[in-house]
Amino acid sequence: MHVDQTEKKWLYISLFVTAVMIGVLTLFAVGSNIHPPSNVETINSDTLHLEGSEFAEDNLGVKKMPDGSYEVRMVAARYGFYPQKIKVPANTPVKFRFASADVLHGIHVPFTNLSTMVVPGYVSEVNTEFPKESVDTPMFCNEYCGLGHDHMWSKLTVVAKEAK
Amino acid sequence: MQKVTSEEEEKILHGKPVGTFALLLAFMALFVGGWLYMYFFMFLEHGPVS
Repeated sequence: MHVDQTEKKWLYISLFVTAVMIGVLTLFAVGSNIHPPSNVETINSDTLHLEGSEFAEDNLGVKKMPDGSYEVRMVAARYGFYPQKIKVPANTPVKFRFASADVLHGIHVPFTNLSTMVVPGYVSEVNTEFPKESVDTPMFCNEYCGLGHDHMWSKLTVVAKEAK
Repeated sequence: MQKVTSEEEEKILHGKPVGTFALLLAFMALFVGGWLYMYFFMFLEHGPVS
């Protein structure tokens, strides 16, 4: 098959651009474990609130783990995230675990890499660190979940590592 | 508009498309540079995620 020289150059450049992107993404995914969050873990949304459940009211919020990292458990339910205010330290690994009590929700914190869908029946898990301190950054629902969707948010405060 | 002479037409039709190559390289540099800037200075600056 004859391919014109100019078209070949376009082809080589497109392949080069694609190779650069895939190479950088693969390098950081394999080398630094940076990739889109993924977790397949099922949970019964009907019993989230019951005693003994990981997402019962007493178990929600921020918890310091023995290794110095933090774990945050939150429930998304029309129309809010619970607890509604959380505080975590900067430059410290934080594992977020979200569960939905009703319909499909999403969570997005602007100017951070914390963003995921919260699918009913599944636990969404995101591991991240916040490099900068911030006060009352909104955590928005970014999946349309009903008439009150645009009022659905909670607040995240990132404090200095020593202050927590 | 000035008419193209037959010599000029010949040169255009059979010469190397230097302008196209320059455009190609400029596009590649801008596209790759922009993508790398966003990845390293916007995405990674917001902290690791997995």
